[in-house]
Amino acid sequence: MWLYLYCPHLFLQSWYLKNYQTEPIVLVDQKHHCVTDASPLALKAGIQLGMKLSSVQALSPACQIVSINEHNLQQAMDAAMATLSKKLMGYSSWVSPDGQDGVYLEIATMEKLLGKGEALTQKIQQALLPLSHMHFASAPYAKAARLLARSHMNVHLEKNNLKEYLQGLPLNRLDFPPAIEHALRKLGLKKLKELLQLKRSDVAYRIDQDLAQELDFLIGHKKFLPTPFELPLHFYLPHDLACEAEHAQQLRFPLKHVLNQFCQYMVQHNVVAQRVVVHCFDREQQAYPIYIELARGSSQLEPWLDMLKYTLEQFKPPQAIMRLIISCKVFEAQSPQSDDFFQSPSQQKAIDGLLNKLSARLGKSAHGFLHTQPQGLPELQTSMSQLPKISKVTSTTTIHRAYQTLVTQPLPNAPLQPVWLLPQAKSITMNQYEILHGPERKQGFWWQGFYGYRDYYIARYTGWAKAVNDHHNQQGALHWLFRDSHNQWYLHGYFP
Amino acid sequence: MKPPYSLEAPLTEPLAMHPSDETQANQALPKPKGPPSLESLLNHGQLWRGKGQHTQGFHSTGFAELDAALPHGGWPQDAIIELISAAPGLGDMALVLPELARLSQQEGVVACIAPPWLLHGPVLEESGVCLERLLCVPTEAHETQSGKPHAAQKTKKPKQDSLKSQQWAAEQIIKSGGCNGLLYWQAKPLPFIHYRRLQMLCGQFHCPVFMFHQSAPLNSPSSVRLQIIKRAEKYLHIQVLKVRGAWGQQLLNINIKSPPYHRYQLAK
Repeated sequence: MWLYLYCPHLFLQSWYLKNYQTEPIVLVDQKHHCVTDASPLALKAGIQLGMKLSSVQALSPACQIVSINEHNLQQAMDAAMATLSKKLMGYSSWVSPDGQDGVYLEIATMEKLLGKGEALTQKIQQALLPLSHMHFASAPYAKAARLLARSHMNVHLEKNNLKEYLQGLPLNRLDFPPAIEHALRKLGLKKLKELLQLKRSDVAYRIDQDLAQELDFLIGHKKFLPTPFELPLHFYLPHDLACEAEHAQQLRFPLKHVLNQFCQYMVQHNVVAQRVVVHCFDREQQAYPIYIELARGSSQLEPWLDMLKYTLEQFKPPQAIMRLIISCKVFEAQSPQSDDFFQSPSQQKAIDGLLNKLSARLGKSAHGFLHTQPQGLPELQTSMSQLPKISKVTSTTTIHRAYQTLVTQPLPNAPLQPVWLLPQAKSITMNQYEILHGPERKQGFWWQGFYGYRDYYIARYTGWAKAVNDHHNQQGALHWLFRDSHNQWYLHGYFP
Repeated sequence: MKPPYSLEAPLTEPLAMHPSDETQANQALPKPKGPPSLESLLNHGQLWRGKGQHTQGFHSTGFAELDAALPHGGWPQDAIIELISAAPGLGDMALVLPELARLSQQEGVVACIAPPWLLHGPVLEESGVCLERLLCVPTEAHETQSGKPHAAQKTKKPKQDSLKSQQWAAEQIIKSGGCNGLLYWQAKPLPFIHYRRLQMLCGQFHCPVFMFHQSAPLNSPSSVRLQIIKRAEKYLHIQVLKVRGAWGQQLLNINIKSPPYHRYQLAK
C-alpha cells in the first residue's frame, strides 16, 4: 500500500513561507522568463503558470518575483525535498522522493500503528504545518497513488475498488504530459477504461512507449518500487575528558581514540572524508575549533593521526579543555581500489602524506600545483590549485610528445615566451634594451576586465649589470617587454 | 674521533625534521682541536676525493658541452647542484629545463621552493614539463599565482620564520620519498649545516637538488657549482666553479638554439 504526497508549491513554501501566505509571489524561470510557480494571492490576481514576466508585472505590479538560475533552483529544491523526506521518515520506513514536488510513502507496514491512508494523511498534514496546498492519495500501487495525487484527487483506494475507480476516470482530469494528452484526444479516447483496454504494443506504437509501461504499473501488472531515500551521513561524537587538558598535546590520546571511531564509521559506510572539525570546550562552554584536514579524503587512521600530530603542534588552547565534540557532515563515496600483494608501493601515499604535512605547517594555500588555461593575458594563463588538475589524455600525450621531441633534439629552440612572469609589470625606459623579436599582439577578454592590447617584444638587456667578482659585465639577459596602448613600456618577464 | 656522518655510508635513520635542531646538530659535529683532520675536512665538504665515485646516478644535461665538462657525463642524481646567475634572464633555467622535463615524466613530484617570480605554465608545458607533477611552495607573500608581489622584492630581508619554513619544507619534500627532484631558490645562502643536511638527504633518497643563487656562497658541500657569465645569441657562456670528481674553473660556451627572431613593423 502506497501513499503519495504531491506538494506543488514546495519551493515557495519552504524558502518564502511568510511571503507565500501574505503576498502575491511568483517563481520565474531565469532562462525563459516564465512563471513556474505562484502563491494563492498571485493566482487570485490572475497570474497563471507559464505566463511571461511582463504579463505578471502588468497584472500585479506589487507581485514579488523570485528569479533563480537553474542550478541554484535545483540545489534549493533538493534541500527542501531532503527536509520534507526527513520529516516523513517518522511515518514510514520507506520514503522515496519523486522529482522536486512529490514523495512516495510505503504505508502497509505501518498500518497497525498509524492507521490507514486517510488517518495517516491527517497526521502528516498536522505534522507538516504550516505547509499547505498539498494533495494526498493512497492506493495499492505506487504509480496509481501518484497519478491520483498529481491529478488533485485526494482519494484513498483499496485493492478491491481500485480498478473500478480508475476505469471510471475521465482522461481530461488526469495529469498526463501535454504531448500524451494531445495524442489521446486525437484518438478520441475519453475514459481511462478505453485506454486500459488497448493493447500495450498499440499504446507504445501510437501514443508513447513510456505510457504503455506506466499503465502496467498503474494497475499492478508490473511491479514498480521507488528508490528509498537515505539520510545524509553525519558523524557526531561527543567525548568528555577524564581530566582537564591544559596543553594541546594532552588532547592527542583522547583524539586518537575518537578518530579511530570516526575511521571505523567511514569504513562501515564505505565512504571517505577529507576534513573533520573538533570543537574543544572549556569550563565555561566556550568552544575552540580545530580543523583536521587531509590533502585527499581517506578512511584510514594513519593519515588522520599524522595530521592530528601536526595540527596539535599549531593549536594552543587558551583555557583548559574539558570536552571534545567531533563532527563531520561531508563525505565522499569510497573510490574503487585494487590492491596487489606483489605490487610495489605507490608513491601517491607518500605524496599525500607530504601534502598533509605542508598544509599543517605552512597553511593550505602555501603550496600547490600549477595548471594552465590557454587563452587570455599571460599573467592569467597560469593558476595554482591545491591538488593537481587531472588532465585529459590528449594533453598528457601532448606533454609526452613535447618531451620526446626534447629528448631527440639536444638543442631545443628557446621558447618565445618567458618562463618567469613578474606579478606586476614594471614600468621601464627603453634606452638599455635592444629589441630582438616582436611585436606580438596580445589581447585580454572582457570577462578578464581588460579591454586594451599589449604589443610584446623580446629584448636583450644591454645595461651594465654588476657581476659576482665585482667587475661590471654586459650580460645579455633576455627580457619580455610590452608596450601598451598609451605607448608606455613595461617589463613583464624573464626568459629561461 | 668518528664523525657522525660519513660520505660513503648513507643514513639509516631520517634526519630530524625541525630546523630548531640546528643547535643540536652543531653540537653533534666534531669540534676540531688543533689542525683539522682529513675526515673532518671531507665531512665539511672543504675537501673531496678527485677520482672517487661519490654519486650513484647521472643523467645527461641535454647540452653536449656541459656533459663533457661534468665527470660522469651529466647531472648527478643524488647531490646538490648550484647555479649562480647574477641577473634574471641569463639562462639558468634553460640549463635545468631538459632535466626538469625528464624528472616530471616519472612517477612522483618535482618541487619548486621559493621561486622568485610567477612560473609561466604554458612555456613549461611546451618544454615538456608535466605540470601535474610540479609542486610549488612559493614564499609567503607570493602564495598564489594571482599577481601579488613577491616578498623578496618588497622587503630586503625576508623573515627568518619564512626561511626556516622553506628549509623545513625542502627537507620534508626530499624525505617524503615521493620527490624526483627539487628546485630551490634562495634570497641568501643557507647556513652550512642546512646545506649539509640537504646533501645527506639527497644521497639517502636519491633526489637531485638544484639551488639557484644570485651570488656564490662562500662554502657549500655541493657537487657541482656553475656560474652563468653571459648570454649571447647562440650560446651561454658559463664557468664551472666546482665539480666533484674533476677539475673546476673551466669556461664553457654552451650552444642554445635561439628562436627565429623577427622584427615586424607595427601598423600605426
